[in-house]
Amino acid sequence: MQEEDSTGSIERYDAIADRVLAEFPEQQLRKCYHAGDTRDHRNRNVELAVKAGSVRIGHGLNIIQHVEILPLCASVCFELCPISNVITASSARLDLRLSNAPILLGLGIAVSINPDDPGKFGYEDSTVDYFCAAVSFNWTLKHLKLIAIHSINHSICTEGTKLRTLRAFNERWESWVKEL
Amino acid sequence: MLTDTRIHLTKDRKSFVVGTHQQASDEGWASWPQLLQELGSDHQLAEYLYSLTSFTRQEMLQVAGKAQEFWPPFEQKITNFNTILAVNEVFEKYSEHVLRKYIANGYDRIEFRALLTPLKHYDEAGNYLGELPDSSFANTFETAYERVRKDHPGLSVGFIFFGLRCLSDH
Repeated sequence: MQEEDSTGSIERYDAIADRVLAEFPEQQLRKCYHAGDTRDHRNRNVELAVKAGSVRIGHGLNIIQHVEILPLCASVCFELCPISNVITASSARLDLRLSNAPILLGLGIAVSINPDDPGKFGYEDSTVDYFCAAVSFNWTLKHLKLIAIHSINHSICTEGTKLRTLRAFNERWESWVKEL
Repeated sequence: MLTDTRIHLTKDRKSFVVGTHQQASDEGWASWPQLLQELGSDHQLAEYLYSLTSFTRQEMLQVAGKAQEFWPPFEQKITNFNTILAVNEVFEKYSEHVLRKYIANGYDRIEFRALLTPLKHYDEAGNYLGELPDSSFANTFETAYERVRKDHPGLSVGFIFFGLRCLSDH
């Protein structure tokens, strides 16, 4: 979404977010920070995002360089953007197979698949990202279903919408799997 | 967008600009018919306009995977895109287009990361009338969203706004 290193630490912006959240509690706003999309080992944004209570983190893949923070990530979802990672080369290695995403998923941390900037990159929605993740990480249907469930569980909607979406997803998934 | 006669290309043909025919004539901006004449065909016009907001295959081959070279053209394309997206009516049409596109691809929950920015108001001739209130983004999107929801009541949408870095303490 943007070059993270050039815009500095999210620390002072988090203070603004805290004030807004405190001022409008009835809105039930949540923090979904963009962080950890960097090759700069001095960049601590992902650590700050987790400690600030970000419920989702855009990219966040260099969390793996801050293993001491991983125990705090039980309720955080990391938004993996496979195509963007390769194109922008900002965090992931150019070979997607070496991405940290499968490690996070393997550790039981929620990961979702996202397209980042598909319009700029010349494609639509997240289908190509799912395909690249599946091929690069050798993910099976089991992994893809888990990823989809993570994306619903960590969506920024009401619990009612989540339940309805999960039910609809499960019905469509079962029907699709039977057709395979 | 190509039916909106308020949108032009700047004199160097590298950015979008919104304004009147008179402004276009004074500043050397190009209208769509003029661009079509310059570029020769609908296909080339479409390709050229696409290249202003998206990476072409050739550009991708040059900058993909090179962090130092990627960001400057990326920022330029984002800026180009935002110029036209900030026009209230364009934003409404674009929102509906995107929602219908996702629905056609099987989505029923969409969450966008979006820039927190007020929309701009122009009259039909292209005279700039000023910025709409901050709430315009949500209100205009909702107009498109409700139109789409009439056909697809199961659709739901969320926004993750970015641009906090642009906010002052006020």
